[in-house]
Amino acid sequence: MDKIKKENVQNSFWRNTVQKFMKHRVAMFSLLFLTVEILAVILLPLLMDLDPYTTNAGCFSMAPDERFLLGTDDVGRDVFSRLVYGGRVSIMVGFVSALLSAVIGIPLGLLAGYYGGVIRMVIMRLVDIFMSFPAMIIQLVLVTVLGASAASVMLVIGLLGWTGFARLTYSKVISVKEQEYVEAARASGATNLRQMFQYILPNSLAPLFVQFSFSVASAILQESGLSFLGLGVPVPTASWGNMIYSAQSLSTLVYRPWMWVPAGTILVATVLSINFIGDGLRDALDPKMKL
Amino acid sequence: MNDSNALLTVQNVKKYFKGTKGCQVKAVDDVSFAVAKGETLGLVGESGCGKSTLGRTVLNLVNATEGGVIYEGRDILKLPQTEMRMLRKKLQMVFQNPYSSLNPRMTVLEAVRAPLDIFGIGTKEERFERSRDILKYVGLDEYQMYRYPHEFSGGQRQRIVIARAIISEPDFVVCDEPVSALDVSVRAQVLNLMQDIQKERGVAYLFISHDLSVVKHISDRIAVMYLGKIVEISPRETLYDQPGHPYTQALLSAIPIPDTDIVRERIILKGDLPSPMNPPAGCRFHTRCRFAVEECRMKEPKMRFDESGHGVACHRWKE
Repeated sequence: MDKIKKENVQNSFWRNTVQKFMKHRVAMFSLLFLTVEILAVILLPLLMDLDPYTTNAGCFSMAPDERFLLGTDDVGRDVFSRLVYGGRVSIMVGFVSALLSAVIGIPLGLLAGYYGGVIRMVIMRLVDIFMSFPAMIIQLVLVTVLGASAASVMLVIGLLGWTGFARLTYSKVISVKEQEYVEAARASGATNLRQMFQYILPNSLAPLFVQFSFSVASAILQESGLSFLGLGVPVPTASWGNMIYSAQSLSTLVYRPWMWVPAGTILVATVLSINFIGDGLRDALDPKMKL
Repeated sequence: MNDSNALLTVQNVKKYFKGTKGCQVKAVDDVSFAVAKGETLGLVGESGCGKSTLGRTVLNLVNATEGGVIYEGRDILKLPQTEMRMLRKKLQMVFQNPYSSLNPRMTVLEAVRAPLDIFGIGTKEERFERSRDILKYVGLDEYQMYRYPHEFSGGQRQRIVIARAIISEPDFVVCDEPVSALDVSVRAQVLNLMQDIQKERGVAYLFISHDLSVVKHISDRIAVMYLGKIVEISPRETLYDQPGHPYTQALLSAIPIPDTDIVRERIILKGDLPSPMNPPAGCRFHTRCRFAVEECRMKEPKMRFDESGHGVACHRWKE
């Protein structure tokens, strides 16, 4: 019995998707890179003696040597340690904010698409209102009000990023809900909630995965943007954004590149690879796309 | 048929769709009929005459503009949503296209079990066993239960859809062209399955189709629809032997006969189907009827029944 189940339970839609994704070389490489990076920021502090906080007296702004792999910053902290710990923060901010956006946006889009009428009016106009404000300004104000911390940065980015999810879910739902199997579910007596979450949502997910990956990349960028302006994750906690912040000083920018080039490089590489994964997912999930 | 043994009585049901600029499409216009326990009422008519809309309106899947559907002494079109939902256990539907009426993200087992899950019937094990039994009954093996719909052929899928429709032991199933999308070879198989189910479980069907041979095969009584109205309703033999309405006569003359020696008079209808947005006054069929007289243009004919229960909506019936 169990054997039968195991052999047949694979959904070949997802199997096909995985196969197509694996043929997408750039996306596969990006996935590999991101996996290694995430493992590194999680495991390196356990394996190595990393200390991102101690200010080593007398070792201010030192160029890389055998003791400090990537040198020290202007108050004498180890740049490599800060890069690893900053990665933890930046990547977490990316995923948590994107998750928050998805958790808010997807149900709202689902409601708007399923019920239509007044509910759609209210939700979609709310989306329009949110989208018409320049996100960066609102984020600056909100962070100032809430006080800068990793949590408030995640909250602020997540709260302003849901509109994309809501719109995408809405547009997908209005087409899926007209499918005959949804009417069949209604004819079988399925409640509205069951129709939405068991029939409509699972069939609307594909583009949302893509949206999620782009959303992670965008949140990481927004965090570094806020940190660069001094309103992101506050020091002494490290994040890639506030490491780049040090490049605001002209002498650092020109004479002490070890303080900001590694953080900038890894940030760009991470965001790029997440975007490539999103591209790969989009192509893999498109049934008409033959790779 | 008298009303006492009627399972479901449809009374003066109308469904108008609003178009642009105040136009209305009268998809179903004042239709009444009754379905007895365990019988099959065939519903035929050409494309766009309102067959499917009627089927969906009867099950309250689209809101009727007017009229009532009496089931167990209550008008189900006026029930609150929650009560209507509970009744769906007893009133199910089989859809035309087996490729689109199954959720692609649910296994066959989940799809068939859904009505039991929805109404919370039985324990988890009981639901599983009932689903397995019913799938076996419609001819699917146990190892196929965990597969997804796209791994099955059209005929297999339609059998899955039928299994889903009968698992909650309904009294009445609307079958909206259940075999139209299937190959001829599979058609008979599915029809026979439906007949077996009816014999064993006593379920009544409203069998919607545009295929007269299929309807003849499966129905006890047949209703003929033209432009949103039922023009003739009668027991099967009477309809095929003595069609009363000129439209029915024309339809029947179009059934191909698998014998080249028989030459039959074909009744070719003139003109096109009038727009349901602006149906002809009087008898809706008068524009294409070879017997039409002045009265037909002026007055809408009422359904008249003879003693055998044969009803025809035509002024010139039995002239």
